Amino acid sequence: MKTAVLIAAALAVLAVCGWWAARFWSRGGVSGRGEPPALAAPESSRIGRQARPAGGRAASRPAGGAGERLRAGPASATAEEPKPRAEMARPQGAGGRPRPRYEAEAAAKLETLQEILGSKNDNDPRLDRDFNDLSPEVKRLLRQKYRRIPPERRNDRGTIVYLLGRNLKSAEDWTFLREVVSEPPCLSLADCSKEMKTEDDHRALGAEVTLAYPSLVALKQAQRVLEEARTAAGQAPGASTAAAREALLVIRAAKNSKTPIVAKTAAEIGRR
Amino acid sequence: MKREFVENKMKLASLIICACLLSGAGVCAQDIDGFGEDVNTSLATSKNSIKAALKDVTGKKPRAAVAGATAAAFDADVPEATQAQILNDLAFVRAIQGATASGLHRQIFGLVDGPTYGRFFDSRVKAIGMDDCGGGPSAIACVIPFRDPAKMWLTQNYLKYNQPQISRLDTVFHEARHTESEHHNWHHALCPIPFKDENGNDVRGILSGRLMEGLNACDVTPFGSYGTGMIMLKNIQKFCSNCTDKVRMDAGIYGDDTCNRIIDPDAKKAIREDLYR
Repeated sequence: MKTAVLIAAALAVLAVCGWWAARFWSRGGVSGRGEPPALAAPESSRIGRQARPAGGRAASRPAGGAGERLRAGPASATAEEPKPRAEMARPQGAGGRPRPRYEAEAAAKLETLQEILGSKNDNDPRLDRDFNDLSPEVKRLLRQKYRRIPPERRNDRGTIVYLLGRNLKSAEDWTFLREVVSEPPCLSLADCSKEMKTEDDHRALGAEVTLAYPSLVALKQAQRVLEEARTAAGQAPGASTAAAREALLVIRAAKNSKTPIVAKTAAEIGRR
Repeated sequence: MKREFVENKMKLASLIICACLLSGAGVCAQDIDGFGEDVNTSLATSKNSIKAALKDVTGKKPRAAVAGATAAAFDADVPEATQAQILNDLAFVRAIQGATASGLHRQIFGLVDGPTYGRFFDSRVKAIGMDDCGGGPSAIACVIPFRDPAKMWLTQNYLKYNQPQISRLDTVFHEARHTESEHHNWHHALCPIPFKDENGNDVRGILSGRLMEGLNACDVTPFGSYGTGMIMLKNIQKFCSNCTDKVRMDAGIYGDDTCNRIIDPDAKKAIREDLYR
């Protein structure tokens, strides 16, 4: 027992040394910027397993949008989402220099999110307070994080959709929502890829919703935008916002979902 | 005795080191000083993971911050992580504030109010244990009246599945309602044959795809377990004043879904008038 503990401790010390060496090396002259801490360790090979929309490609993109393509298959684990041009033009952090402010801010947001997800506390007030007016960079990182989270993490994924759904501004934001509602069904809370023979009695309370949770959250956010637009249109008849049109595209995409509760909810929203 | 003490200290040391490796040495150094004190909810996840690891070694009770979240006694075989999760969930529900409530909610609970929910739970659930609740991948919790009507059983899935907090609470309060022996445990009703939705389509279980008709998965009253959970959730959605938007959104999503399980037309009408007008 003692020997095993001592070996573990020795390995741990070695790993600490390795970590410091790696840190020193990265400071010492490797150019370019590193990933924010929350994204530093890639997820397992299950990452992005659900990334491809059911139809094989995303719903139609808005005219003129700089739409983004959802990565599919194993490559999604490592591929990077293209950065908006404005982001590319910004100064990059290089060896030894402090991170640009926007990059540090993005890393801080992701760290906060990771804390919240880890706590499993959906009533953390930071969800309402710290994720408003997100920058394009933060949103890009959140989308990236979404794809890296195993699909079985239904609440974690849904939380990211929820936060992005509160910050719907660009074509990329709306494309992402359409992709989420078009995801293939998650077949089991234990393993989305494996259909499990299961029960439909009271033991399945809420399971259907949880399986479809990220898509339902995306739909709710589209519904909210639509309702806000309708309220505004009531005050100014004839007005139809671009956001409302985008929201309708999300609902239209959801109607074709292979997940029955998503298609049904979308149809209900469409009827209102 | 001394040997055991030394071994425990060595285990503790190795766990601290491993935790340091996982979460960064800087964070770890700050955290070790605070070991043993109450966990502030705003602490970083990495800190919590270290504390959880330490807790396992020292056999400490679940976090003091949520001790008192329930008066129910845990069986010895309930893993600490599961205890911590349900205590956290109950601590959340005990903190809910709301100035009003719907009529049905007042009949079942009273106002939308954390202490009220706490009393509802405490007066019904006296013990919590582990069971497979009849098996099946969806089982999360159950009450088995012939074994102990005041005991709630949790499955491993309570902790394992990554579901919204409001969904776990829906399950917990659903099961708390099932403890009421004086109401025959609010047993469920058989779904009607045929069982059609509002559009005249057969209702099928989404998980198996089989017809729901004839299954023991419906209620004919708003006061049963489905209704109790749904009414609680819809009231949280509408009236909770200190819930995040996410919690209220989740409460609406899960509450609306549970509503489909109530099949009696009069019960449906009562719910519509109480919650959907």
